[in-house]
Amino acid sequence: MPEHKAKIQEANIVIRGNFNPQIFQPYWFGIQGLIRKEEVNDANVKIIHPDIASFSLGWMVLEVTRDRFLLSTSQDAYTEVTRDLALGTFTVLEHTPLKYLGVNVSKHFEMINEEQWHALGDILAPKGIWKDLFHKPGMRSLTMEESSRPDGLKGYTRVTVEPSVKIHPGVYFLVNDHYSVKDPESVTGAEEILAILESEWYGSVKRSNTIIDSLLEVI
Amino acid sequence: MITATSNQTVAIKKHKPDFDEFSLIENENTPEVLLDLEHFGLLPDETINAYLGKIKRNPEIVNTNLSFESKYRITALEQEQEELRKDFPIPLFERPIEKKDMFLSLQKWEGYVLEINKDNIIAQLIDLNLLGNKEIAEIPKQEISSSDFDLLREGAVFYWTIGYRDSTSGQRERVSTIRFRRLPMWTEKEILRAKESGERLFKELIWD
Repeated sequence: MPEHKAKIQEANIVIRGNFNPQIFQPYWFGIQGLIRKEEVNDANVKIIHPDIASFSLGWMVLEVTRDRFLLSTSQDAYTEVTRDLALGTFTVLEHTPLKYLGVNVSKHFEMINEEQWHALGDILAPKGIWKDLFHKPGMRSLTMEESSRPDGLKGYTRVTVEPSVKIHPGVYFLVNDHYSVKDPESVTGAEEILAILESEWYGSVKRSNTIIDSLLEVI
Repeated sequence: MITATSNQTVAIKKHKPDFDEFSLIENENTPEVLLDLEHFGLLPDETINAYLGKIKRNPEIVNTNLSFESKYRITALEQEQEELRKDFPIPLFERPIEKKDMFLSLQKWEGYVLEINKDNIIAQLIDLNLLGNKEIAEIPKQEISSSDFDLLREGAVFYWTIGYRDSTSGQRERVSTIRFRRLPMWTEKEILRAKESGERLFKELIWD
């Protein structure tokens, strides 16, 4: 591919643990100084409920349930800001038990033509063994996993490749860099996940981009 | 509304309030939408519980992979929407996909304020595209948003991005964004802990 510029991209941070969704209101973030005062006023609040809280600002979407915290941005300029917001949130809520962390990068790329689009599928999932079974086999989704992390931490890395449903002909990549605390059942605070987020985030995003670029290089 | 940027959606396949019928389908040709979360506050508790139950039952989201909102957008099949409206006391809305501005960065730096002058700041910039490349820059104060002025002090960290913003109307603009880092103030306890940790490290150092 001549140019590896994603048409659509998203970076998100998913944390699994025990949360009180009602806390996660724009006003609370404003009081803590984690977002701008103007953003508190302009926030698009979708729901604040004991079981689920969801609001968005111009650059991010937040959704929290009792066991899941999601912070997402589709604007590349705000990926670091999004990471900082997660760090700041649980620095304040330091006694929140956090068990797992996902640093996720997803991108949609436009392919030059359908031939190139099919070529990527053929390289990643050769059709030889399917020829006698299907008339016209095609790859819908492929997930590869590295089940031991290169950094020695608990967790895994999963890469999913699918035809994009946003762009045609296009391809969709998702890299899920999953981290776990040493003992998820006995964790009592946010410290371990925060340390991972702080120390591993840049490396994780860089690795995700390298993986995606490398896969695009094959065609 | 649950916004989405991803690949798949969830459909309400029956017109009865039986949320066990939520299922994953491809989003191609599926009309958007659904349970509008702006009105979620109006929904009966059982609906919210069923909705959350769906999240819990789906093994994929026990992990930390796809964003919930992007993978599990709830959609209603077009031909069933009228019945849904009749039988189901939940507001359902048809809406186009919520489009968002896209920002594609050409260059990103992380900056540290070294000096604050009357009209500009002097900062050390670290190239985030090529991690490690450092340079010193003079940045006019006009580039800084007034909302971030209270964070402007020596040592403050900021992110500076130059890139293209593609608006939903199709207009591409070249923009420069400076955003100061917002983290909670250090508490006395944390400062004490850091001090203790520093002292411990110092004692462990072996001097040649």
